[in-house]
Amino acid sequence: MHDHDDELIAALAGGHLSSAETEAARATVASCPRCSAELATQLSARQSLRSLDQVTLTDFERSRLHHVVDRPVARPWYVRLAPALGAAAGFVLVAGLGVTLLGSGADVAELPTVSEASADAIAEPASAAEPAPAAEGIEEPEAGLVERSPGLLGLAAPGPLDFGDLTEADLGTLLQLIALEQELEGLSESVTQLQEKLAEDATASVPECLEDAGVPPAIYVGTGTLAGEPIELFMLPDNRAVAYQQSSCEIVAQFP
Amino acid sequence: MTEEDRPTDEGLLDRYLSGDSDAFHELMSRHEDRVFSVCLRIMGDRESALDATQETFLTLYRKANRFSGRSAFTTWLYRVTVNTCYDQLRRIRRHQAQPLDESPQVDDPAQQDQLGAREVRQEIEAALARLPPDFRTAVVLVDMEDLSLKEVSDVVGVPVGTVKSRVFRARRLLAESLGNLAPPSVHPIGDNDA
Repeated sequence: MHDHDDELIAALAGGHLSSAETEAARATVASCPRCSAELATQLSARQSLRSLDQVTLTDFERSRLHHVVDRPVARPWYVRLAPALGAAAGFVLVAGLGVTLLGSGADVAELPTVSEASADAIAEPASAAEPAPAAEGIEEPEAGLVERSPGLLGLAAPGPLDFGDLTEADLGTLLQLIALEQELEGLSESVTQLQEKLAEDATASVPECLEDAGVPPAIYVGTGTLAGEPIELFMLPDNRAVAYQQSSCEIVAQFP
Repeated sequence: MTEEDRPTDEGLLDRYLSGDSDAFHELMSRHEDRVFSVCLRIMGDRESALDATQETFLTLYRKANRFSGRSAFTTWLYRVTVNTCYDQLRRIRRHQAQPLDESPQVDDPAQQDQLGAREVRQEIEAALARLPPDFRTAVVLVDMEDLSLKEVSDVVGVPVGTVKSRVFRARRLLAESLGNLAPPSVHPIGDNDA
């Protein structure tokens, strides 16, 4: 028996051959006792695998899985401010046009009102979610790729998030994600920029007890409970993240 | 909704890329069990499989724009899944100073009578887990997920012949582990087995 026979037998056992190929393969196998034995082995192993139960997620696992993607999407400041900037730009445009047209005697009633223009700007989540032009220090998308994705994660959360009851494993995963956000947005390339942002941001602080322990200014990401104890999660510079217990001010988990 | 009205995976992906986040959730709901199943068979335990599944969907979420449409969406999804599992396995291997949890032992005699079929399944799962990752992936995709040899070749990025060979050897190792090797009844003269 040769390697090509092995491959033939593997394909035959899996039903991957056409009817003509199957017929020819069966003839080959029938003339070779070792091939017949091998086919029986292959079929038996395949049958064993197929006897395993269908795997499905439990409800708990499914909720954990969705938890990661369901988190409110955090975006960089320029994306978060896009609706407001759009509204402001709309206001300036409408006001300017109004003044111009009033001056020329046109019918103002045909123009959109300021509130309509603002509403349009706010009602465009897709455009607001489009990536802003790359700022200095932020990586461009890979050459040849058009960045169309809304992007999952950003620098700072729009507000503290409530992660609910967390297991240690959940917390580990979360901290890893929080830390990796910096990498995903290319900010690990510019730690200085992140640190500046941390210094400017009103939320860039940590409780005094953590400051005393040498934890640098950090962005407060959210809260949750671990074994019934309230905890808070922070994103730190240098691709790190930390969770501490509010009652004892102990660091209960960190990444890395 | 009839099957014809049901949006295709590619259509959902396009909608997601246009900013419709519900489309992503539909895509995820459609495939999460299948992705988890592959991850579980490759990783060997539910916790690692769930991590790998999360990572797979995060990759999909972030890099959906990289799907070029040259292959079926499911082929691409399997590819991301398998690569994610391999990454996780490498990571686990790096941290394998601590022994992994063994399968739980059942000592309760009252449960012993339920063990028959379950023990067999556990043996098969254990035998599968002992296979080299490349063999395991090939046999899981072919024999459990019913992918064609060509699809598996696209997913793992090796020629079809290599897939066949891996499947053959994986099944043989499994049969050996399970004590299911079929003995040849006759040894023909001059059969030079390689």
